Amino acid sequence: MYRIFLILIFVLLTSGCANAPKTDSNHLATQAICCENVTKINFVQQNRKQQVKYDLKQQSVRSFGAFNSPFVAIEKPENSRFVQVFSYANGLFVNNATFVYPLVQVYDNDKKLISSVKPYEAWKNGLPTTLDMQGNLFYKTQFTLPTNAAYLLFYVDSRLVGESVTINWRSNVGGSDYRTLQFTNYAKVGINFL
Amino acid sequence: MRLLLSFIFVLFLAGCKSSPTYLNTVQLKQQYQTIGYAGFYVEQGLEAHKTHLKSHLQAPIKAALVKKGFEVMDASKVYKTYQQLLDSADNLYDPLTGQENENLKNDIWKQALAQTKAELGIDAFMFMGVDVVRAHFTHNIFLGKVARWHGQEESYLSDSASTGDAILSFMQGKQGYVPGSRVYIRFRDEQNNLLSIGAGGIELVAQFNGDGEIEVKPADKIFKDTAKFDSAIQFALLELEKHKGKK
Repeated sequence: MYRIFLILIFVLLTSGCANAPKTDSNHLATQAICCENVTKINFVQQNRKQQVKYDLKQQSVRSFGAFNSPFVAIEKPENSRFVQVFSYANGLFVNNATFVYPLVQVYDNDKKLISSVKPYEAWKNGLPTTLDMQGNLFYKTQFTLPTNAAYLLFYVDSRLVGESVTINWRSNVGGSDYRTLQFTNYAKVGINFL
Repeated sequence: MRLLLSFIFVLFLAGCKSSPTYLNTVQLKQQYQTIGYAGFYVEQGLEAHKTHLKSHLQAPIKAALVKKGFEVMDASKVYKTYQQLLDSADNLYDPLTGQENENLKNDIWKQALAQTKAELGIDAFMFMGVDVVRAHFTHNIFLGKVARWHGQEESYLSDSASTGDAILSFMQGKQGYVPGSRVYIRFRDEQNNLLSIGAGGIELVAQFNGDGEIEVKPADKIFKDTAKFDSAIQFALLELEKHKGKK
């Protein structure tokens, strides 16, 4: 029994320390690149005030200039000026959790690039995170969209994979402490238009 | 068995962490000989002591760096440039929500660094100041009742408490931390990357009293021992020298 317990701990620790960002990065490097032409991308529709979760590992990969990234293509709902992105943390333990830093490309009706935006929160300053009722840790950011925005590509900054970011961790049992998370390129993201 | 488990745990945690690599004094001098000194800053709460701290720390550190072969220039204009760039920046605040764009602000700071570097012909920036960090202690018969941080050590019990037996037995076997002030010297390039840092502990800013409660040192009793400034400077310079450095 003790031996099994030891092996279990060993496996847990090694999996925790297996440098998931590096594994994710290697996985991304082997993925086929598609969708260079934005006009041929199938933008899905989404309603306002309804959060939809996407697993980036299941998404297609595209080149965004200096780096590749999985992406989610969404047609902006009418009358929406804001979009919230929830970046959920991977991992069982906060000590070795990873998450992504979301970026957005904004296109107009003709699918011409209007702007590439990143969150207002600079990750080097530490990011605000929240623990929801189910115990999921996430970082939420909100983008203000230009009035002529029509199509959006949500992707992640793959250049940051492996970088450490400080969060103020609030545990379920009370108290708070600074913890360090790492960026990766695969995670679940929630997208909610306001 | 518990020991073995702890050992495995520590081993893996240690394996996961990678500490940053900073340049040591020799490498710093080779690559960034002309240093722009941006200014002296103190952490919030220590403002009342700023003039006193600056008068004891700034000149000796600058002199020590010059002695080591650096050319130290005044680069405080970086803040004026930064403010000018901030004033002329569009969209620093979201027009609809008012949220500050931290990423843009950081980019503007980098612009200010780059602009100042080009104007002054310097290689890197130096930031100096005093802040407060954790001074750790473990109370046992081997380590005594001192807290240690950046080369410095001091009793974590205030004068009134040191003689009381009750508090000593209360603290026996306990570990924790108390706030300790330190002088820091940071070197950054124009991309705001931290090239190197040296820090030396000065003095605890709070200690445990006889009731086992943390008590902030009164303003008229802190930073009076000037010998501590000298030792802090030496600790900071030594830390700079001792970095393994980038290969």
